[in-house]
Amino acid sequence: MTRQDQSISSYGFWYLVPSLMVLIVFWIVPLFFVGGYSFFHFMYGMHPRFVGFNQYHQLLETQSFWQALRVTLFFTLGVVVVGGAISLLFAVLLYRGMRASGLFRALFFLPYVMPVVATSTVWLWMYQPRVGLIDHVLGVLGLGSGIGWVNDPTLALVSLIIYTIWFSFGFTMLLFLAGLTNIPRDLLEAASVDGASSWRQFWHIIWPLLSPTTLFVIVINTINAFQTFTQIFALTRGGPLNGTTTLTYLIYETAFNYFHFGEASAQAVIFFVMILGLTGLQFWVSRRSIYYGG
Amino acid sequence: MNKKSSIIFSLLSTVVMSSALAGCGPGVSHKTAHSTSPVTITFWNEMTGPYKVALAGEIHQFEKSHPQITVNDIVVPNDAALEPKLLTAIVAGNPPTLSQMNPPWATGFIQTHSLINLNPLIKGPHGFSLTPFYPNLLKPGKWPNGDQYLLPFNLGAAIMYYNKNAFDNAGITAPPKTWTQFARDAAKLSGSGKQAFAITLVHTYPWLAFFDQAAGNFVGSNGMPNKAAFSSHGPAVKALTLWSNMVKNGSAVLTHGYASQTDFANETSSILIGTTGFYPYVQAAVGNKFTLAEAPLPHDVRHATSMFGGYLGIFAKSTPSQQRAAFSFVKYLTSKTGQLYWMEHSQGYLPVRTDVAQAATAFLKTHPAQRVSLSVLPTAVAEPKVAWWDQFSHEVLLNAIVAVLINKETPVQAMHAAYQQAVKLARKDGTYQ
Repeated sequence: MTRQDQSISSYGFWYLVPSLMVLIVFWIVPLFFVGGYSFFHFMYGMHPRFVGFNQYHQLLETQSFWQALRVTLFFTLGVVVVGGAISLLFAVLLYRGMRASGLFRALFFLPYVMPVVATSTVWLWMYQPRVGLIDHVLGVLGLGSGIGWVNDPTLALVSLIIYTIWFSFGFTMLLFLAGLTNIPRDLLEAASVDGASSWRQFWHIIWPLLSPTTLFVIVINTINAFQTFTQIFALTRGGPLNGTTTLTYLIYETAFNYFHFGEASAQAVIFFVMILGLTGLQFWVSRRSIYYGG
Repeated sequence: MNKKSSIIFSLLSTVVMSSALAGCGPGVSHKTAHSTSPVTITFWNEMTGPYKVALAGEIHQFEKSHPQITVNDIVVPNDAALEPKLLTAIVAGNPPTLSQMNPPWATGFIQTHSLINLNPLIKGPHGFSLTPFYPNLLKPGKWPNGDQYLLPFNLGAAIMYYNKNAFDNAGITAPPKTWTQFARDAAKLSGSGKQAFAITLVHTYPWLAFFDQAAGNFVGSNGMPNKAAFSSHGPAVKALTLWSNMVKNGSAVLTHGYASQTDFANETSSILIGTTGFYPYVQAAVGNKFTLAEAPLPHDVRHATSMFGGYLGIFAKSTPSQQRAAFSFVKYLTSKTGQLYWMEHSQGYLPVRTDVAQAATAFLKTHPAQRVSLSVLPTAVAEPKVAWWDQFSHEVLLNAIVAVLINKETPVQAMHAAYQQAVKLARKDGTYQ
């Protein structure tokens, strides 16, 4: 490397300093603090007490932690798998030249650009038994009324998944649509000339060629689902009976409702390791079974 | 500079700049201002909607009589936002001069010497007498050693709102006075897809009112959970059984969030238990659809209701001149004049002093909700100040009530489990009061 190259490289580093600073202050330093806090038991107004791995042990023995984990996994599975499938279906329909596709694309994407708090509040009123829109429509159709969409512990989680899919499927659909437009049309035309049905075209051409996009969608949506907070806060506050308390919401409640910062830090560390592991697993799988062309 | 030293220098600069950034933020001036020099105090509160207007009026009156003091009014939407915001500000060393707060939060603030003891100022040359204050409202702001850290400001008590037309149609001439009458009247008012009593459980206070009426007390004298309150024949099981039976026989329904208010306004229910803080919203929602009436809650072993609302505390981090100015502001807000204005303009809150009612006779004649609520204010019970209460109330107790109302557990099972969890929480968090 010449002296001029070194100088350019040094300049480049200086340009990175502001971003690095933000990263250190708001990400790396808090990360170390959280790691450190997880070894202390303390709440505001109490002197911190070093407890080693005790909080991790206690967490793993706590029913609420395991329930939050189950809720998180069920929620993630619902949003990623069901939401992904619906998004893909609509993306394929739009790709195949559905009528007024531009309008539908905009309509489907619209919820994603609206504030989650606002749309969650609207959905909360739609979900209300007796006075909500959904209950009213079901009542008119003779399909029953008074359903506890957000009052029943099991149904509340399903309601949360439905809202989240409604909110996010436009974005996922656009990602799939972008992936679909990269598939050479002549491949599909050739398959069509050879008599391949739409299903066979999808299964043998579209799906394999779409796998890099699918992986990206799965990784992004999994992380987003794991980190979901706003709609839980607005729709159910983790209830009823902790039926919608995900790990993120549990961390929030533990830290900012009950001020058990040490315990919340231990939860956050476990959660961080989980997301890291899952993302690593997804990439490991991707290296073995994703088709990147060539 | 070679590449290695350039990177080290860059990293050092980054760390130095990061530290500088982390240390940024408005510093606290320790310069003591003269009592005559202008001083600005910051007041964090939850006064939204109609209350914001009323508070602005109070501040305007105060600033007119104290021209050297400016009150910077910062509104935070609710408890859920204000408590963590205060905590963060205290940890960052940048709390407001004074804030609205609930006594259970203040426990931690006092432990860390973040709040000032108001006694020296109250007893000082510019102080005032606490004699006119309702003793049960003063008590939550007082600590076991007698120090008064908080003063009551915007308080109210839970009452029963009811649809007078529905009561008349069902042949009920007066609101229920006992639990038995309450259950009987609710059954009369129910049917055809309507349940008379729409239960709201955003907080536990509506249920706690019934628990208090059954002479319950979850906290023992040592600060630990009081086992008798959770027992099979105890007050908690008794209050849970009342509500659970009403849900089972179709005269009550568990609603989500504040939907009970919508149910009530839409006439799908005819009884609503709520605070006087509900009043402006309920009144607006009901409009002219039916006659809105108010009554004290029914009683059981004793007359009792839940207290709600906020107290005022001054932070120790503020300068002495700010503390003096904040105390003048607190003195004004809790004065007879300040409380009269507050009751008449806030449309929901009650005076914290006994000497205001007489001066407000005309107002109370035309404002039945405040009149009813004021009549039960001396029996209002505040939430305990023990460290384990917050999590117990919001998580354990709330879940226990819901589990019973959706028929997942019996009242005895729910209270047995709640006791175990309460003991665990008390052992973990301590019992300081």
